[in-house]
Amino acid sequence: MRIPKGIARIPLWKRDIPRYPLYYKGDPSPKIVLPLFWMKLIPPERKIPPHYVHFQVHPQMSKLDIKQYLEKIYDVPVLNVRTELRKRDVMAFSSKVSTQGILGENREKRHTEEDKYAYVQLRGTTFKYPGYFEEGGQTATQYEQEMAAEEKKRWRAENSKQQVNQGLPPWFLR
Amino acid sequence: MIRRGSNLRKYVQLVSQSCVRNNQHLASVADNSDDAHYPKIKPKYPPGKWGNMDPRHAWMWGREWEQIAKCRTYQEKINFLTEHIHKVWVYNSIETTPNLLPYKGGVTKTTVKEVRSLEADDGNLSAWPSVYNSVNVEQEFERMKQLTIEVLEQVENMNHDYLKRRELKQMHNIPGNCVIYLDYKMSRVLISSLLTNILGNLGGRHEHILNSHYDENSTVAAFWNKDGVENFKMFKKVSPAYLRKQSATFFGEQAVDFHIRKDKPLPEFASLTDDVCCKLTYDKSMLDYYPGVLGQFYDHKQKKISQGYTIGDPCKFTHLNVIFPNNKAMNLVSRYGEDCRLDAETGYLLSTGFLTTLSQAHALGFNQYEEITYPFTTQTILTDGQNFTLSAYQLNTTQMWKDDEANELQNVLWKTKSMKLFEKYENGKVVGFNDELFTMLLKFLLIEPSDRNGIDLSPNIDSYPEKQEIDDVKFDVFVEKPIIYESV
Repeated sequence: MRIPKGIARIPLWKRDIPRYPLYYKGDPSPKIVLPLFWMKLIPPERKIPPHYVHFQVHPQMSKLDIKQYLEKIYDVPVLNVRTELRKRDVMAFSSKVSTQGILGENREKRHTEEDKYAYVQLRGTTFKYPGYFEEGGQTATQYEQEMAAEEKKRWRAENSKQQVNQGLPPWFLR
Repeated sequence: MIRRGSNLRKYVQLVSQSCVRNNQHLASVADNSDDAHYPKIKPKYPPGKWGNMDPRHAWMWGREWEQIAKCRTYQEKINFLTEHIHKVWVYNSIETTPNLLPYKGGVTKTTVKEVRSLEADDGNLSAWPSVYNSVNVEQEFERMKQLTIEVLEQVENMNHDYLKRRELKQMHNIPGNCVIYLDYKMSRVLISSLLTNILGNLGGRHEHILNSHYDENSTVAAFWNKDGVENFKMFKKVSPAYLRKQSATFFGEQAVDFHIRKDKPLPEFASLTDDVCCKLTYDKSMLDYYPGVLGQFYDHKQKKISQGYTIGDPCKFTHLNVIFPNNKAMNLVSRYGEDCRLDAETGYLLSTGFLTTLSQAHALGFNQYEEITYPFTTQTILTDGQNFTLSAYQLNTTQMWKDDEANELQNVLWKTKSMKLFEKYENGKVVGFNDELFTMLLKFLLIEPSDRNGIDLSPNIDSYPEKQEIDDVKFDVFVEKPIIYESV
């Protein structure tokens, strides 16, 4: 089958999933060998309980799909799945650029793409996202830490508003 | 040039004024040089216990507290509290996400005591409250038992069609009202007929039952603040929104299926000096997390308080709530397993007890600023007609926004396991009637309200509002004669 020209540019993992074949009673049950679904484990933005895991998933995946994906492929017991669609900012360029700018005319076009996130509650097991700079992982050297601290101090001295308002030059405060 | 001249004139005026002011001040200092007058130093906290609270936060609460203390009527207090629309965390009475009972207990500051046996012991902390020991049921027991069995059999025979239709629906997936709705309808008919029969019989002998009020589908709503829960966004540290951030606002609303009220409160189940109320054992494990992470939602809502009755009603203390587990929400939770369903049931009992008592406290002039002077108590029954879970709730504090050091009280929920009133029907007759459970149910109805040693029940209000005259709701009922066609 020839892939249309527009779709060929989109990578495989971003494409829409093809329709399932129609099922008639008496036919052999359809089986999916390699699903086009994908799930990406992401670090949580806030502190979460130990039996919660966060994922970014294919936007066409339903709650049931997510549950079956984890249970049947990875043998992970799942209790509950909660999904969320987050809108992503996309700059829309067009020939009509009015005085009001992008916010005025092309407001609807700005928020077109959406990402799907899944918050999975595990049954009877816990999971912790591996921390790179935490215990067990790699740690920064003492020299690096000192340098970073000095840089922070210098940046604060130059950019703090209060000290500038006092009328003193930044080199005096170092 | 003219402009510059005017500006210069202004500058000269300012300088001259400041010079005069300074001279006056110096003169005043020179006159009373011996007695130095310093302005009053503001204390770190307003009067009272504040614990480890941020001083700015404490002063903000203190200012609002002073304002509300000046209001001496119910209407003024409620208007002050529900003035603005706020962002609030919505508190669900039935939680559809599993394993969130510790969150519910933490937010409402309640401990859950699961009672193993209905016999009360003073020494055991997890025992049923000892108030029920003094209630005498022996005189009424056998008469009432006979009546209930009669009612149960009668309802079963009358609604036989319902049950048949339910079975058919379950077997063949017939469209229409779902099975849960039919179950709900059935249990509602059963409980209403039981309550009307029993209360009607007992009302002749007991005056407090005769004067009680009985409602159906009354809404109960309240809001409160809880310390230690992370609020919506990080604002600048100076803004008042930052001060609000330390305690999140919650809003809960639900319908109670059956609601019995009396003019006096129930006796307290445990005194405020008991270990059950004083030793803080409520679950705080879920309070560390942002509520949005646990599947909670916030909303812009007009704050609202409703007690389930119009203000001015003489029967202002809830005696008994009856709720049913045959909901869509409860059905959703039951898919996660038996443990999750039981957790959701206890959460449902907890929220009904908490919301009824809290809203009731507002009607009597208490709120989250002005602490309650005596504990508020209610009883709740969760039933589907056959399985019964009993619970008793005691509200000890309304100041949940204070931290645990400042406020050392907690609310308590006593709860039993679910028990069967009877085993089954055989040929239209009840088999295996549970006497132990029925005595406890009678005690729930027969327990007498108390004066609480004659204390003032609404000290923050000058006078409880008089009864408002509301017209009775009228229904038009058309009775049609059956048409009989004569054969020609």
